[in-house]
Amino acid sequence: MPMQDDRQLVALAQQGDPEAFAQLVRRHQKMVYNLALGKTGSHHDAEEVTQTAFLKAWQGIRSFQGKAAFSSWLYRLTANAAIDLLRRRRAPALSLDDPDLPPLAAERRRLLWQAIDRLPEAQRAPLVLREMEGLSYREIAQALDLEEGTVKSRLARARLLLRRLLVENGLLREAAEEPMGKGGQRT
Amino acid sequence: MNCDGYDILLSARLDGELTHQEEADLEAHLAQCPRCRRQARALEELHRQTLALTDEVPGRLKSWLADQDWAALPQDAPAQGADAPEEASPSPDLPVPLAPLQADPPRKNPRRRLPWLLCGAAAVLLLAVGLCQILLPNSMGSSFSQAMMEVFHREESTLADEGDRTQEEGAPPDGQPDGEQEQDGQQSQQDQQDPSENNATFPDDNHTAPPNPGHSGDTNHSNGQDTPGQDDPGQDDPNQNSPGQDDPGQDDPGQDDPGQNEDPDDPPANGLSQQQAQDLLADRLAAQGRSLSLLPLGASGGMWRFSGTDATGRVVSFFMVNQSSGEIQEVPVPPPEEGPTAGPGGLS
Repeated sequence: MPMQDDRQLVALAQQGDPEAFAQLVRRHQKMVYNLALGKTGSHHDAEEVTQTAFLKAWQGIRSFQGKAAFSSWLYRLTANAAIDLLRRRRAPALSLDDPDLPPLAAERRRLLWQAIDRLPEAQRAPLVLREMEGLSYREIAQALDLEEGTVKSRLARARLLLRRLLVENGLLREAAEEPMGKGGQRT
Repeated sequence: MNCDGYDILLSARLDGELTHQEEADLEAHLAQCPRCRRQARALEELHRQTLALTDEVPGRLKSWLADQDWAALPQDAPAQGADAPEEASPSPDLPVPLAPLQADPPRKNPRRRLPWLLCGAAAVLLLAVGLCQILLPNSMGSSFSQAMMEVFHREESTLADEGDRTQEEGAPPDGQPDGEQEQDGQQSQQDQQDPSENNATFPDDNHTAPPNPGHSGDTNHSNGQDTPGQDDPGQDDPNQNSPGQDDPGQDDPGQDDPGQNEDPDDPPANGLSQQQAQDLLADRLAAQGRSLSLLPLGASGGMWRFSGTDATGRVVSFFMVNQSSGEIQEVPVPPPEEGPTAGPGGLS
């Protein structure tokens, strides 16, 4: 099946086409789930947030005007759903049981998404489609309605910036100088 | 090509998107450019970390999503108005979609309904009340960050061994009905390999927070409340010379809802204050005969966070105090094993 870009799928979904929306769900569910996991630190909560985000996306998709990428809009929906869930979780004691990630695992995911949050949208969308959804450059270009060359350069810039942000927030170290001797770079 | 241009090739190499010619050019350049070799390592490390911190969608969630009868759920009318903020929560109300989830869906796989989702229906209704977002500064302190880095640093050897799945040229993200097993396997493997991610929960014998002016909450750090990173990533383009022409016309979805993605770090109305949490933690430590300096790291996810520094200045544990229940969790930081690892303040 030829890959349709998000814009086409959104247009169909806005007319009530469930299969088009299902394609959008398949394309973006990993991003949504991982963002939710990064925000909540809990598999259980992340599942709930993912469900809520997609329900709200379907319900509200006719208000989406396509000025930004669908994935960006969905990203916001997910982040908001996560925040709302965390807020609700205040009253009952926070569950620290099985569904939760170990604290340090949760912290690392939180730091990662905190940094991804800070990427300019134009860089974040391709990065997420590449790293989370595993799309090829051609597929990313189709999904976001961009040239492949643009995808390529934005990905590089996204990575350089993300790396800097992660060094700042402590998830990564500065790259060391030639740790393996001259010319010993990995391939 | 200058080195900035090679950054793009380094990035594309991670994705298996290089032509043979580009690959050859890049290799030749790397052989003679220490800067780009370093950059290559940096990007590889980033790539590994991102992969290692990306989880598969659990199988049951995938099934739930795949089995949704979207057509049976209503859609809101389009928002009107010139400035209709499409990026704001498009639908503060979620009145009807719950019904098809609770009722037996006249659909493909009724067996797959998730009990926990049904139980959560009321919770989703609560969500429908709407989102009122409060902008709060992130309170992760840089000292904390540096200490965390010490921990992460030690984990890299394990992360480095994990497979690099991006070479498989981006298959479409569907058709993995058994993703849950895969995900669980990866996750547990990663967590088991990670000696730092064990945690101890304190005996939950004290839920109150007695005022205790004499706690041992002195800190060795002065900048624990700094917001990490002051620069604006939007203006910060490490690669000005990239060939791709980005279209500037994309609107930023964050504009209409500033701060909605910030963590809701405000303490609950009748929960513990940071000081109370710190006092509680200090008491508990004192009861255990431990002497640590506690540094408040702010709140996240309903927890007050603290680092605990021993007499030598090493961060030995992170603590999280539940703002509602007062329950304390400890995440020990394994001692450094080799060499003078960068401690708080000692980065290189």
